[in-house]
Amino acid sequence: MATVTFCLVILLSLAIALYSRRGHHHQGTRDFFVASGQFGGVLLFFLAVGETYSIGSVLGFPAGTFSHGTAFVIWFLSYIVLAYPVGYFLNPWIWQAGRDHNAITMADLFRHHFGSRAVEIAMTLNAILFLIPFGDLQFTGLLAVLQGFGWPVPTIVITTVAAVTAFFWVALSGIRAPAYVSILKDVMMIVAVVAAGIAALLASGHLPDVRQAGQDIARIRPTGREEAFAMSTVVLQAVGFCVAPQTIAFLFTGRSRRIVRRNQILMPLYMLMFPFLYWVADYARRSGMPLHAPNDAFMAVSLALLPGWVDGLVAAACALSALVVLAGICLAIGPLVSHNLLHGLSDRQQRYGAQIVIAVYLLFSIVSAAHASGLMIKFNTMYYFGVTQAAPGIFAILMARAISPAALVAGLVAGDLLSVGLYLGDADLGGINPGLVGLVANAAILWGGSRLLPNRKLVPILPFLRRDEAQASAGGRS
Amino acid sequence: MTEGPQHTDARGGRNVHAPVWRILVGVGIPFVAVDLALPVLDRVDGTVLGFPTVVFWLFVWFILTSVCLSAVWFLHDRRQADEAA
Repeated sequence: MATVTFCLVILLSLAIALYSRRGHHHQGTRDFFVASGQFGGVLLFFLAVGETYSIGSVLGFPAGTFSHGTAFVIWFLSYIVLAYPVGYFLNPWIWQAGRDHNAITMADLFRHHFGSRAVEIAMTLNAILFLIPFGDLQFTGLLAVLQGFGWPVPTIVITTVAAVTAFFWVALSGIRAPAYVSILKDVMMIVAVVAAGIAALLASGHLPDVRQAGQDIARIRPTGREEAFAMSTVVLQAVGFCVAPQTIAFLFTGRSRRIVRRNQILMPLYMLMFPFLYWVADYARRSGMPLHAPNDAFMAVSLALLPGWVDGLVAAACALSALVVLAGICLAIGPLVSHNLLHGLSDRQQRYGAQIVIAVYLLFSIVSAAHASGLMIKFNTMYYFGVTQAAPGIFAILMARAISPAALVAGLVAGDLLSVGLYLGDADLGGINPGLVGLVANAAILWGGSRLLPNRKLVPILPFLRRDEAQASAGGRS
Repeated sequence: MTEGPQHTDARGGRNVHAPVWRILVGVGIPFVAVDLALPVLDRVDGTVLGFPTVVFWLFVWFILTSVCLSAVWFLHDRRQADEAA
């Protein structure tokens, strides 16, 4: 019964992807990657939350809570909830910059605003490098779900079918497919998480009281160093969340600045699924159920407590979570190569070029997931170190400070190298996130370098900066 | 919460005089309550509705963050000019 439910949901997702193509059979590059900026509030909301809460959230949050208690919970939840207020103010102006420059990728903002090919290439390479591990992560999560399900199917078959499905969605209608499928995915995911959480909560009442025996999550308290890590990570990742290349590309699908802003108000409420995931982790820990790895906690609790057909639904929700995020990442990486790295391609060539890049990326991710590379896990940990380094440049665009392209690239490279170097070198920073140290160095180099090497004056995107400009020009006239 | 005069520029009628209280309410309050309060709340023992106090506090701020952003939207941003496709 579980298998039937699972297959029905996956087939439904394919039907929705086909439906999303309706009326868009002849897509240009802009329509393929950012839906020509036509998405209304509902599609933009589901695309944004659909791409935020990946299989990493469904499996990773209970796993982290199970293993590390509140030390994990506080940084994981804090940065997401604070990313929404940051996005409320920042995202509409990033959208505006994209509209002013007719952008389809984050790197387009830099190319058009600074008129520098070097800046465009640096930002593109930075984005691609730190997005690479996402595919591997989705496949690894997918395997954890389906193997826990107990199907006698080789892993290579599972990952290949998943990759073909993601490619099929993307090739059908570009960004429209993951946006439409996100609606199904999010409804399914909420149902699955709530069902597992309530089952865990009800079952917890029958467990012996282990609160004094050290098994209770509430007793795993963060140390001072872990608090410093949490507080610094929250700042880094709340900003990084908003300037990640795929987040920015998804913003460009929005129809208006107002829609982009209004959506941010509701997004924190979506996080109300986390108490249910907490109950799952709490049950897994208190019941002492055997787990091969902490990542198995969610599926193990679901399989133990829910009826068979609901298990199929839970597994399908997890699989869709992985596939939607995979498709979104593919659509972020594809144009970064065919549009930003390779100049001079026609509209059609850019679209087909991106599809080739996506196919190669999926293939690479399959191989990487099959080998369970420790390198990819390290890369994934460093994701926010890298993507957040775009923030000083983004702010420079919005404020139109007189920025030197050389200083921008130097700051980016220094920020990346310092963050990664401190992390890999295991430097003792008293718990401070190495990515934040890199970000501060990046911003300092950008500021200092730009004072030494001033660039042409640009028009600010942020309106309150225009006020100063307007007042200055008014003063000049009087 | 007095607002200054509303200015618009020629490019899409963008508001160029947004009051500072928007930032304080929209980002400042959630940031203080969530990030800066962590070291204090971490040291509070006990549970609320079965959750450790700091975890329950974070869950409550999912709703209160939305409330802060709603306040900024309804008291100011909703009336501002838009720039659509």
